[in-house]
Amino acid sequence: MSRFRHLLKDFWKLCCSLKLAIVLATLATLTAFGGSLLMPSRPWIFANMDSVNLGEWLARQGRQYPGMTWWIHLYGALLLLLGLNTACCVADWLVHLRGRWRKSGEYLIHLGFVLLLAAYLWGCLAGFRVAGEAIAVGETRPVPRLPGYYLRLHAVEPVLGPSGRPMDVRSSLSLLRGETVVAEQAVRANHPLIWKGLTVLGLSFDQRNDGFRFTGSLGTLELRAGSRIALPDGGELHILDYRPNGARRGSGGGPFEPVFFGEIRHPGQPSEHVRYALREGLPSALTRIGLDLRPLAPLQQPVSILAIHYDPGLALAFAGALVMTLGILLAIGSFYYKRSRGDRPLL
Amino acid sequence: MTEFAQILLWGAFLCYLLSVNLYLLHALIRRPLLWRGAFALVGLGFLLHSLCLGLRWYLAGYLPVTNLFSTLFFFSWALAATYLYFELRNRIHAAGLFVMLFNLLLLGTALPRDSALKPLIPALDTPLFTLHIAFSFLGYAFFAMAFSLGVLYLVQRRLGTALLPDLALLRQLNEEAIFLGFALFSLCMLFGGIWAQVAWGYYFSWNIKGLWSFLVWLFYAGMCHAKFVRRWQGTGYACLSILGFALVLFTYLGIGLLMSSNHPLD
Repeated sequence: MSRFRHLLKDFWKLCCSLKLAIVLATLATLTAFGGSLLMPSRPWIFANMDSVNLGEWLARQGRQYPGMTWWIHLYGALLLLLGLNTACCVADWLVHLRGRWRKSGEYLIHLGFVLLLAAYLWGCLAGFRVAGEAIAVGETRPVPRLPGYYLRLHAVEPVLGPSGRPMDVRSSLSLLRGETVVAEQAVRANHPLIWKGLTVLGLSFDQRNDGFRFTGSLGTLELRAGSRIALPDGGELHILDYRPNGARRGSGGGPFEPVFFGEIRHPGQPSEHVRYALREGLPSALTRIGLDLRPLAPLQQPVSILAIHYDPGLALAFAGALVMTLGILLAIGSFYYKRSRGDRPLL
Repeated sequence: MTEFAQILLWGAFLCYLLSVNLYLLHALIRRPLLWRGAFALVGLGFLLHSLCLGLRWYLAGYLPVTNLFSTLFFFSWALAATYLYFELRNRIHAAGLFVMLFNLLLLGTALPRDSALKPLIPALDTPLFTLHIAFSFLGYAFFAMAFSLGVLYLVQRRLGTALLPDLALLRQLNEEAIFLGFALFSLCMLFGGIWAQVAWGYYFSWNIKGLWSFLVWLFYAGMCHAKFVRRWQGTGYACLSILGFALVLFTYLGIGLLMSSNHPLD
């Protein structure tokens, strides 16, 4: 029994060992040093590492290029071991806190590192990153890969620089859980919408052609998917869909052109489907009911292009950063305090 | 106003140049008046340097550390401040020659470059930027100081001259520089991480600059532990300080100038 205890004690000593920490940190540094030399010359493998989280990146690029990415697995494993070693060190400090409280600053730095490492690992395993999500003004879209959450864009406007060039984009966004607004933010550079682990950033802005302005017998009309027009004969024209590139001129390789899909409804009669490709002229179904719709101009809707990142470990990472900052300030304070007392502060 | 800033800059450079010459003379003929004069010149140079930095900050409306000129300029200012800190606390005298020579090299490299103040782009318009770069270059300055002290330790070990502080003091100062540099660089990494989260949506970037900055942090974290290992104390620690600063220089200049990164220098 005492032999087993002795072995256990030795193992714990090894787990908390300072020399082990140095060896692991050295090996991790050397691994990443060597591996990072591959990065600049192989942008097709490494350039998009930040566009998805590390877990997804390794699952995709790691499988495709195992010979070039193995060092990241090794580096991760060494850092994980270093994290465990540091965690044991912190646990040992907590056990002996009465005798080691003077070193609290240094151990809080250790604890901060462990929390940051754990948070990063959690984010890699359960987080995601999506870029290039386009959302139009007034539109409500589900947050990808996060069921029950929606983003609504209220307004988008470019922020112009002194020379008149767009420097930034300001997008007024709401995050909804079901019907309830849980967060609102005017998203721009350095001002993302952050809610729990979700971060929504504005990347750029654009315009989307979502309908057409017409003139004719009913005056000027703006038609989009979902628009309804009351017809003079008591019926109704319901626009089911609008596709800015829905029709192709000519039989083969002509350019794409806008097309409306609608439905004419009269009480007590079966509905009639109608397709209106603007270049081809008014379809017979519309001329028959005496509706004149001459296209004037496309309707453009401002669109915000967003990046949506989810990291469930974000709060833990922030806690780690806070603990580490506190540890640094305490360690510096303790260093100068000891010096003022004439001690030689070994840190 | 910008012309005045240029005058201040050249004034600071001249003071540092003269101080290096006086330190050099002191190394040769050992007169206390010489190192006192050299130290006074460093103080005056630092004052002019600080005024120039303050004026540029006022004119730009933000801490102007965004390109190669301004980073070299700020690094040089931080190194002069670090040297003054060590000199005032420990009276290292002739040891200043090596540090100020390096400082002169930094400022001399900055001088011929474009010093124009450009409007701040929205991505940099945050207090996190100021905190990130200020702590970054203060950390670098302490690492540069540790490098100088490491070199001096090796020189003193070989020559045993009365001109330099004794080995025990050099070792203690080296350890102090590493600890303070590590603390400041950790703050730089933490503020940088928070900034990356709000600017890019993630707090750690696998861009080569992010990776190497973490390697620098890991290296100096290892050094903070290595001083407790008897085998690494003294000479080993001095060698590690030199190696560590090579990592710092590559992370700052090598990656910034030679590679495509998210921290471009020009």
